[in-house]
Amino acid sequence: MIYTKKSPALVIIGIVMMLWGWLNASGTIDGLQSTLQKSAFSDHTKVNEKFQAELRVATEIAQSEGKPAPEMKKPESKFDHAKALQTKFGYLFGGAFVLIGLFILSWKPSAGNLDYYISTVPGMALILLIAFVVRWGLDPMFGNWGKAVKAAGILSWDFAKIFNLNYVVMGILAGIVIVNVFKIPGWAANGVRTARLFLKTGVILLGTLYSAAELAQLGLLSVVMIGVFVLGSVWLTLLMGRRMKCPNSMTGVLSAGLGVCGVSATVAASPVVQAKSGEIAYTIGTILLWGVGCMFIFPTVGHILGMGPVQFGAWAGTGILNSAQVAGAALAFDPHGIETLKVAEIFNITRVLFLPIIVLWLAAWFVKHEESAVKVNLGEVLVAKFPLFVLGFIAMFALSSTGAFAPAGHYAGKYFSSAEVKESNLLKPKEIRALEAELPKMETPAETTALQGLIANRKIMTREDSQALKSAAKIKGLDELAKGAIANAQKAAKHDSKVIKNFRDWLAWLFSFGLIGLGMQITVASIKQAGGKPLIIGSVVGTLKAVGSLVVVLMFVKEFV
Amino acid sequence: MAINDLNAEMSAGGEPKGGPKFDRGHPLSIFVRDRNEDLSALLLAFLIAMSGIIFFG
Repeated sequence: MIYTKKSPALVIIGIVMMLWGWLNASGTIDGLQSTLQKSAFSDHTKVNEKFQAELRVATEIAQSEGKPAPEMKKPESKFDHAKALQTKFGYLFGGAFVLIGLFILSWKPSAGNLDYYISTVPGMALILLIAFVVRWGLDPMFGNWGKAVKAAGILSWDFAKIFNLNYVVMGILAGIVIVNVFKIPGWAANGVRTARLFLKTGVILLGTLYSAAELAQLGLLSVVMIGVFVLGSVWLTLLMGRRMKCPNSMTGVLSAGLGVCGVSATVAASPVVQAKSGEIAYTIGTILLWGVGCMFIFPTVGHILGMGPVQFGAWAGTGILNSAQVAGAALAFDPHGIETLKVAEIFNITRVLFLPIIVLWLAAWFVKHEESAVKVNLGEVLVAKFPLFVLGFIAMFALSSTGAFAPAGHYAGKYFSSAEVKESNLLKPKEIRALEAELPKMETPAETTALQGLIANRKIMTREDSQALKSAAKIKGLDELAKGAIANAQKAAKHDSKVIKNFRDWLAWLFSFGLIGLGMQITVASIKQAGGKPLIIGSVVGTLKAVGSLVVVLMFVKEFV
Repeated sequence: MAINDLNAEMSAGGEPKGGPKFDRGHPLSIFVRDRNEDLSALLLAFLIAMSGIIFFG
């Protein structure tokens, strides 16, 4: 059988990509890009102004000494970098697709390996083109709209952030729109199949962002509380799913979504329980809708009950399912303070760290229940059917915890290092004098020691000092210059791992690609097939989790955190 | 091939049912639901991880 279909589509996609690359390289669409990438463009303007000023000074000095004007290289701004990336991707992929497309048009395919592989390229090119549109166009566009609507006072919240209108959700939506409105063309069908391969690769790489050392820093209460609620939600969902005779795949994927933290957990667990695309979409929809409701109800309840920032942060971090909505609720509760948000995020991080355990549990659960019709040895079936990519995720997590990609204590690539503070970022004499004047205001011995260390070294030396200075910066009546000096020192000692930054970029592309392909398999009919039972399970488990965590927080959090 | 068929193929079980399909034993069976897909994902992820360490570490 011949799989490759003759179509000019691949050549056209390639030409469009190359054209985009050229438009970026020639600067023709700089106006459009500056609107889409507002923050990168403002950084670009600052970099340019600074460079021009430095060049002017250097030229004046050279002229006064009778030397020729110096040659200085303009530093690359984020905006330049983004444009260069789009140019590179456009030329690279566009060129390759044009060549392969021309080959398909002129080639007389014969059954075999080459036909198999070539038949997937047009579909992959289509998904990649959509990924370009989503990541470089729709994602920043909605981000800008969300901020603009908030700034104009039409809404008091950023709708793009709260409704998760980022590349993840928009990728799925784009796929859904394409399949339901236009249908998948025959030449692209085989390429769409590759989506799951890239999703699995993304899930494995997700392990690099977390480190086991993070767990040790979180404190016992958050780990125990999150553990109980995460595992409890998964258990309850699985139980209700079985009782209500929901398909195992639907129940499994819903339990991961309701238990851990929304979209990424749903995606990670879906291949383990062999979830259908419609079931994944249903779960993500349920979680996001539930989260939006919680985001409005939680802050109101929090204020009525007179909860403090730590209590509310712990409650929101445990009870709300989606990371962005946790942040939304925390900020809605306490828009001017950072304490609530920080506590909520700590609880949220803990939840993510339970993902490998849940995935392992679901793998065992699914194998057991799917094979229940025939008496089998669970161990043997697990060995035969266990999804290997989960081991990849765990291996990456383990490697990350040993410090293979970034110092072992990192979270998402950010780590503390006093050794890497640049000379230019050391505190200035004026700042040191301001800090010395504030020494008597310190409230604890740890704060005093940390501030003395900062004054002596002009930088923060240890992680403990960093923590102590964080609380010192909140002391009332502290001089603004001293506060700014502490903030500068904190910023200088925090570092981003280059390796993990690159992994994050790769992850974003892999997930974009995979989720668009996933969306392309979600038809309205497939969602209807899922029926109303999962929504009932979602509502019951979500409500019990929200109420249960509220009770626990009110009873215990004050004493322990 | 209708997308619903594709949907059915790629979901539960993942064994292709009708329409164009890849043979299970074929090298390209990495693209159907199979351990090969997991192995390919593992290989790809570790290649990315290694290149990350080599080029940016």
